[in-house]
Amino acid sequence: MALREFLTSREQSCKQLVELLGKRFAYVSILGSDITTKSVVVNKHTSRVETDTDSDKGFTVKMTNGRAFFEYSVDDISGDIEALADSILKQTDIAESLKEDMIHSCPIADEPLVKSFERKCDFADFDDKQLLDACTVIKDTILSKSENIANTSVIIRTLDVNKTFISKNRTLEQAYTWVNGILVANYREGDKVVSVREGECSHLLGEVLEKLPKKADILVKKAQKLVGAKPITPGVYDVITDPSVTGLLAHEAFGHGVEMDMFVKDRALAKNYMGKYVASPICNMHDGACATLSVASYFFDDDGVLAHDTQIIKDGILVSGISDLISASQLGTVPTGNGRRQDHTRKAYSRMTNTFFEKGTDKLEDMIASIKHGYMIFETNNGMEDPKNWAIQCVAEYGIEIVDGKLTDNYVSPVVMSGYVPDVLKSISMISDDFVVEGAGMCGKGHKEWVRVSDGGPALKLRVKLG
Amino acid sequence: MKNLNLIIDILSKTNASDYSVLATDTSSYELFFVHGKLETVRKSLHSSAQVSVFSAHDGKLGSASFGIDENAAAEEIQVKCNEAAKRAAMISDEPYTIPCCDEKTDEVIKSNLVGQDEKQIGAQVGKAVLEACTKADCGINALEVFVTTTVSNVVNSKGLNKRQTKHTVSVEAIPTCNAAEESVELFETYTFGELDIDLITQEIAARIDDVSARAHTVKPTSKLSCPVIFNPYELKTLFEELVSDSNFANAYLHTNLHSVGDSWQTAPNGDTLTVTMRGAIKGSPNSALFDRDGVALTDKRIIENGKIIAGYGANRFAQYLGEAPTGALACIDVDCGATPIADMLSAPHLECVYLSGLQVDLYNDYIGGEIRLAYYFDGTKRTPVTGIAISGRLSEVLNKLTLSKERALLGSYSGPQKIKFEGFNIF
Repeated sequence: MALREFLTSREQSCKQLVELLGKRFAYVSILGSDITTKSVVVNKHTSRVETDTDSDKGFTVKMTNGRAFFEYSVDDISGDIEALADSILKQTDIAESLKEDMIHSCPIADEPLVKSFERKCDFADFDDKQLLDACTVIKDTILSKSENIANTSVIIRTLDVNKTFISKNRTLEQAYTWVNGILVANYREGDKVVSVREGECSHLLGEVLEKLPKKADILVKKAQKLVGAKPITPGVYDVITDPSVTGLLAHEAFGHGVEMDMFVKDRALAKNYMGKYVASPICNMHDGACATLSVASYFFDDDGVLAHDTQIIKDGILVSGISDLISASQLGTVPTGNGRRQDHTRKAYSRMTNTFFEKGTDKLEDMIASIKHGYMIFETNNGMEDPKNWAIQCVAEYGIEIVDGKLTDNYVSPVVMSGYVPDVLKSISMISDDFVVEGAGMCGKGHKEWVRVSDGGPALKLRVKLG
Repeated sequence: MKNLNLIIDILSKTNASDYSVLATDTSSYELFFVHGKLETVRKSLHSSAQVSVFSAHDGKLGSASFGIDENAAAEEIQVKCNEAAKRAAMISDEPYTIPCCDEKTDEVIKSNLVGQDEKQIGAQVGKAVLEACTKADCGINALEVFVTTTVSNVVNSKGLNKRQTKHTVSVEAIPTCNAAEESVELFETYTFGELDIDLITQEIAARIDDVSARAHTVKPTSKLSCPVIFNPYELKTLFEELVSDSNFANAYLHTNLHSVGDSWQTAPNGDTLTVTMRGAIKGSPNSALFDRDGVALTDKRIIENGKIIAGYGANRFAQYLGEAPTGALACIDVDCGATPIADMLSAPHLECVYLSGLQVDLYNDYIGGEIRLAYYFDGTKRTPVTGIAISGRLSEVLNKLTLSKERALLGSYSGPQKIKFEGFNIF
């Protein structure tokens, strides 16, 4: 899978632009993006195929002289490059009143490297008709399982990423793909409606097409259970999280909390807790684009920094944060390959990639057996972090009551888990010996800047407030 | 979009029954501050188009969409158009027609931002936010300012050609208080369609007061039981959820919970809700003249005295339901009540200022969230509190509410500045 022509054909223009702007700035880099997408959606009443409706194609120029950073995002770099360089300088100019009060940043290393990365892709093996037919068969299968299914959607989304990074000393290129298959059913029984989902993901389309149909039965059975789910009685319980909720906990507790742009802004309490216990000693947590293979497994980040596997918590002790180039340059640290943009028109921030707890040694059945009364909670819905004050809120789709060491047939939904981060993490007493990372997440920074992330891990036993 | 005419020209020669193009040009000037110092300056220029190609066949209609950038050459456009036409022919949905209008319009959405210099606006807004903080131990740890101009142009094969230009300013600010005991912050985000520097200063100053209070919050020692008051952030989330249930698309796809004739307030014991979806509200960044299909936006009252009286929504699903399309209305106008805020605040209550995120789950009849800052008023004393959560049955809390007389505007929401609910469990 070679890089597409759009980026390769602009390489010389980018190098010329780096050289021209380099006369005015100590550091200049250009990120080139050419991301194509396809979405096939089949539901009970309509179908559609969309290509590149959320694609990203263009360039981001980054410049600094050791003080503030200047960025220029544009759809193309071609034609009269000298005129473009002049235009960039003019358009990133600032009002006189702002010129005196800028940050100071450390010099950017810009270590020499020329490298090409790519991952196996099978997209060419499947045409649109095959995808539409596959979705239609799954849709019909789901609808045939119950007359109570008001609607169902079968969705296949592909992502095909090409990126280049060019600075004075570095020329990098990468090509990789990701696929998400999603099943959604709206199930109606009397006045009650529930919406349930299942999914599969992989870097290979063939793998998703093979596994997704097997989820149809699980989807419908889950809907039949959840339609009878009751609200949970708020309280503090012994809880077991499934890998999805474990991942959400990792993400919200010490994912956002160690994004080091938050350190620069004094927005994260974690900055003061490096080297200290923040979790149970049996906890180990990682983030990194090369820590596992999932949706955020790139080879270099949007700052041209190679992918890392960063251990954030080691044996319960907070040992590292994750950073982008601008944060690291202000903190005087080495960037960890976590600089990510929503698209080429947006700023790069310190962002999570694949975030997870390491697996432990306990058997899930032993964990359930150890609980007299509590809940096992399943499936991430959403979460909110508070890195400054360590409040946390994680919403699970549903829970199953555990009584006398056994899972019952009592379903509760929705389930909101909340608490004080160190209290929650220090209460972890058992960790299962299995491990799942789900590559279907989207993560925002504040209320915007959406990037694809994965998270997961094993099952955790902890004591926490549910509402 | 410089290649729009080329795209139209190629589409008109493609083997398709109809086409529609939404071309968007966005220009954004952005300033990012850390501890009051300028960290990053960005200028972003982006143009792209979303193209839909339709194929009528055997009494059915298929469609396929693709995105294309403004630098795409004729050959690439041709390939994408041909591929989309083939995909559309594979789809057999119920037929509908795209908007027909042999007119060309080009309008600018009214705003005092029109014609102003983006760099000066950015600097002016940045200064206003940073200087609004005058309290010792408080500051704005991080600030982002976006000055954006968006031009949208819808062209279709039925002669429709509409263009609108919108100007907005967005602010994301982190008011922080570094008290002796603890450093605390709030997260504030606003998008304006009209620039009012005084309003920005007032908002930030009020949030500085709140964050200062957050530094002195206590966790209630006993269980609270009182009405709960929401402010515009939570009200926006709540009403966005409620009105989504009346969207034509949800009705057609059977993903809605309520239909016309059903009530959100089945046994109201207080004020009743009346909600009108609007195309434009002065100052709202969601204001528009037409939607992505080019349908002119028509205001529609959808909830009256708690009862759903109509749906709203875009062209396709309106036709499927046999309704007149209103266009994709994105402004929510909620009627105010008669109770002054001063009266509302004079009785015991819990006023939510900052939740980690209000959860509204229509299917599970649930509303709740974790409170990071609220004011508890016991009838005599107002105390900032934290470490608690609220939850309730949505159907229950909607039945007993009080709407403030005063109005507020926040993004898509225009309506009572405060609403008081009864029936929440505080724990």
